[in-house]
Amino acid sequence: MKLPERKHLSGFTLIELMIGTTVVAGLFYAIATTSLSASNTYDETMRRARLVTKAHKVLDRISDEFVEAELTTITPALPGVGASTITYRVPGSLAGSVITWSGNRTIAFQTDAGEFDDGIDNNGDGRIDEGVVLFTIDAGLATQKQVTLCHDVRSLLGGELSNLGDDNGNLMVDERGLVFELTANVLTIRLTLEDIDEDGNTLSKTVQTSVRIRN
Amino acid sequence: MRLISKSPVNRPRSRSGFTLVDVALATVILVVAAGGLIGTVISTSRLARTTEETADAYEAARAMTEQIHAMDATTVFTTFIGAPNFDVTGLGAVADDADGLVGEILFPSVGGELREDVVDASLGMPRDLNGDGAIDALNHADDYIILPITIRIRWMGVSGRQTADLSLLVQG
Repeated sequence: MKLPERKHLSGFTLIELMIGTTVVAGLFYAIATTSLSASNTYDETMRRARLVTKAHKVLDRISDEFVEAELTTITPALPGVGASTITYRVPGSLAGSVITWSGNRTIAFQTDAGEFDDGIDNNGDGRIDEGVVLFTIDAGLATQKQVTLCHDVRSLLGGELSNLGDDNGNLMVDERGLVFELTANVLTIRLTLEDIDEDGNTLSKTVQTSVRIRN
Repeated sequence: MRLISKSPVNRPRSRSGFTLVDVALATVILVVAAGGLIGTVISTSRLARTTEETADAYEAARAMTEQIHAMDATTVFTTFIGAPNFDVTGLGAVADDADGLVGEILFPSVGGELREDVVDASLGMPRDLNGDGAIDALNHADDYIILPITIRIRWMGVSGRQTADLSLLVQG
């Protein structure tokens, strides 16, 4: 009896398919990981840039105030001590050679609304004891006006811990996220802002500027 | 007499599959591709940290620049020539840094003297610093009217040695 001819079948075996699928899956995983990493890097870089830009805008606004400030009216902020609240006066009007000075102005760190200085995140925004930069004109007078220059100020300056020690090496102890330091006629202003992303990761940046008080 | 094969299967004379050379070549290509991809992943993961370090360095240099500009211009040289180095939070010094401070304020100076004849292209030197129209080898620490300064931050980052320079010109 003549056996029927066996037809030659072309195609892939199961093992070949499994190996090929594994290799392709591995390549796709590597590509996806690289893309995700690059995307995260971009997002983080942009967050930092936005935070630094925001901080510099606030410092520029504060610096503009002190360009005209009268040195003798500035709250003494001794080197190594610093202050999170500063009071000063600026020229209000000029009659001949007589300068009329404005009412007291203050720039201060103040705990944000809903937040208390107790080491607890009272307002549930992921940050602890965060504050705002509060600018007050004619402090204590009937014409007093207040404006918030920025939010998201870190409770303590960058690198500092609440431990009665100088952790960041600037000779100040447990200084606030907004701190003024007056040395002779040079006012140094330091500001730390913080941001929290949707994953709960905290990012903080500290910026500094110096202003020469000329009045 | 005709011989009849007892085996019902006709065995083909040629065998299909890969030769050793095929497998070796494919493996080499796969390793090269994987190596390139892994290198990209590693570089990307370092990029965030490198960017942060560079931003911190330039921020520190900028803050020092503003501090210098806020000072009395005639006292800048004498104030910093004795202690020109400073630290930057978050940046580590290179191994051969004598004092471990990553920041440095560079003046056109020799042996603590402010000199006009220093050759330093980054500072625009040599140049007349006291406005007398001449470039000499005298110490002008007390009579300069312009003072070129370079603020240099040198640190050991995740990508190796890094340097950031910021130049400024102080006018007395």
